[in-house]
Amino acid sequence: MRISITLRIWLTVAIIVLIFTILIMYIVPNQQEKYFINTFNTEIQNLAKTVALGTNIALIENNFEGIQVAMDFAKSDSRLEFVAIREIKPPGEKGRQFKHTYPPDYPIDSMQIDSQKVIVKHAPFSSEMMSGEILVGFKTDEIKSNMHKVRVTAMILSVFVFLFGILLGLWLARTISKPVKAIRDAAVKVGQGDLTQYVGNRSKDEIGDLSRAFNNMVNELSSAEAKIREKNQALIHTLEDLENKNQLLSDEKKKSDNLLLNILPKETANELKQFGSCIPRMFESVTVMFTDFVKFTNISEKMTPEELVKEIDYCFRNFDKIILKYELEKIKTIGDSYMCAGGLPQVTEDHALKCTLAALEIQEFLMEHKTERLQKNLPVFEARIGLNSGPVVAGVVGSNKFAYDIWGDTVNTSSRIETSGEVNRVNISHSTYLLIKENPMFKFEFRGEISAKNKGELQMYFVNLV
Amino acid sequence: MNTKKILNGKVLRLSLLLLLFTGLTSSSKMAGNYNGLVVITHSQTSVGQLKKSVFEKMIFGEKQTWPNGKAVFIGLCKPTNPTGIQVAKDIFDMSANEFNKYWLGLVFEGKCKAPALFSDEDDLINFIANTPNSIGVISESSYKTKVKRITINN
Repeated sequence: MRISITLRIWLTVAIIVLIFTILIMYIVPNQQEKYFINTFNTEIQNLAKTVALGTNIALIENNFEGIQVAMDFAKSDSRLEFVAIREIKPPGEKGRQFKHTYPPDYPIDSMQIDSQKVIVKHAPFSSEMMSGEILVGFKTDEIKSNMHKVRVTAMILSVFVFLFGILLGLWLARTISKPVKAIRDAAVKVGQGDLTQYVGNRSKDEIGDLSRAFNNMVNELSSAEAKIREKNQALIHTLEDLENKNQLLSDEKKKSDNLLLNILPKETANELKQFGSCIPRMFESVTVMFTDFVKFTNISEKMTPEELVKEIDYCFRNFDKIILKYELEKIKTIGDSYMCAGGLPQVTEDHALKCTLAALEIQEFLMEHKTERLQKNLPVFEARIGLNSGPVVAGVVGSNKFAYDIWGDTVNTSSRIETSGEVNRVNISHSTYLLIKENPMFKFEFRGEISAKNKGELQMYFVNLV
Repeated sequence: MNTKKILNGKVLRLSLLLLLFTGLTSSSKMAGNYNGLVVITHSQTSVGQLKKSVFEKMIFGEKQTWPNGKAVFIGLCKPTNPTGIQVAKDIFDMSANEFNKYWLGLVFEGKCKAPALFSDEDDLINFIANTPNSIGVISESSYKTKVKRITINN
C-alpha cells in the first residue's frame, strides 16, 4: 500500500494531537480533581482546626472573638454544609452532651451524612471545662461543579487543540508535500527531456535547499545538453565532411581500382593491393597473340599525329572489346603492336580456341574498317596476327608504373609467328594448331616449316573459319 | 393642711407599697435593679430605660436590636471576675461554665454575635463608652458617668 507523504505527515500530527487531546481530556482533569480534593480536604481541615482553636480560646480565656471570627469565616463560605461542636465526655460521665450546629439542628450523625455529597473533617479541642471535637462539613458540589467546568473546558480545549492540530497537520503536509510534488512533477518532465522546468520554492528550509539544488541540476543539465547539442552538431558536420571525404576517397579508390584493373588482371590487382607485391606465377599452357600493323611507319607519315593516335586508339578499343568478349587478358601495346593472352591469370583449357576466334574477329573488324576508310579515301591499316601456345611466367615487376607482363619463350615465339605471318591473316604455331586442330569450326592451311629469327624452322598454319 | 396631710399619707402609702414591692422582688433575678449591678450603655444612646423583659432578651442575645432598630453590642465581665460571676448568676442564672457554654452555643448556631468579655470592669466601661449602641452590666460601685445608666423597669 502506497502512503503519500501528505497522509503520513497528517497521520503523524493527528496521532500526536490525539494523544495530546486524550491527555487534556482525561489525565489533566483527573490530576485536577485530585488537586481539588486535596486542596479541599486541607482547606476544610484547616477551617476545623481554626474553629477548634477559637473554641479553646473561648473556653479557656472566655474570649469569643476568635471563635466568632472563625465561625463568620466558615459561614461566609458557600461550600459550607455545616459546622458543629460536640462534647466528648470522659467514659462514665453522664449528663447532657453539649452539641450545637450551624445550621441549627443539622443532623451530624455520620450515618446521616452522605459522604459522596459532603466531606467532613474533625478537629479536637480540650479544656478543663469541656473536651470535644469540631466537625466541619463541606459540600462537594463545588468540586463536582469545578470538575465539570474543568472537563467541559478540557473538552472545548481538546476540540480546539484537535482542530488546530488537524489544521496544523494539513498545513504541514501541504507545505512539505506541495513543493515535493512540484519537484517530483518537474523531475518527471525533466526525465522526459523538458529542461525548461523550474521549481519556484524560495523557503529557507530543506525543501528550499532541495528546490534550489533541483533548479541548479536542471540548469547544469540544460547547459550540458546545449554543449552536447553543439558538439553533436559539430560531430555531424565532421561526419558529413568525413562522409564526403570517404565518398571522394571511395570514388578515387574506385577510379584507382578501375585504373588498376585496366592495367592488371583482377586477381593480380587484388594480390598487389593486399600484399604490396605480386609473386610471378608459372602458367603451363597459355596462348599468346601478337598483332602488328604492316607498313605502319609509311602510313603514319601520311597522317597527323592526332589522326594517327585517334586511329590507333579506335582500333585498339575495338580489339579490347573483342578480347573482352573472349575473356582474354590484354598484356600491353607497344607502338602499333597489340599483345594479349588466353589461359591466364585464370587457367582455362580453351585458351587456344578463344584466342583463335578473337584473332579472326579482329581481322574481320579490320577488314570492315578498311572498307569504310577506303570509301572515305582515308589511309588504312592492315595487320598480321600471330598465335603461339605454351608455358609462360606472368607477374608484375618494378615499384612504379606497374604492368602485368608475361615472359618466356612462348612469348618470343608468338612474336616470331606474327612476324612470319601475312597481312589480313591469322598465323598460328604448331603448338596452337595441336590444341585446336580437332575443332570443326576451323580449317587450316599448313604453311610448312618457316625460318624464324633466332628460332630456326617453325611449323606454321594459317587458320580460317569453316 | 388636710390636703397636705392627705398627700403625705398617699405618698407614704405609695412609698410603703413600693418598698414592699421592692422588698418582694429584691430577691428575684428579674428585678428591675439587680443587686449591686448597673446596666450601662453608650452615653449617646437615646434609650434611658428598658423593660426588664426587653433587657433580658437583649442581654441573652435573643434580641439584637435597640427599639430604634440599631444593632446591639453586648459587653460583659468574664465569669472569672466577681462582677462577671454575679452577672452570670443573677442575670443569666448560670454558673461560669454554663455561661461560657451558653454563648459558645449561640455563636455556633449563629443566633447572635458573641459578647465582648473583659477581665476588668474599667475595660468594660471604656468599651461601652467607646462603642455606640453597646450595652453592658457592671457593679454599681464601678459606675462612671462617661457611660449612661439604663433603668430597667419591670
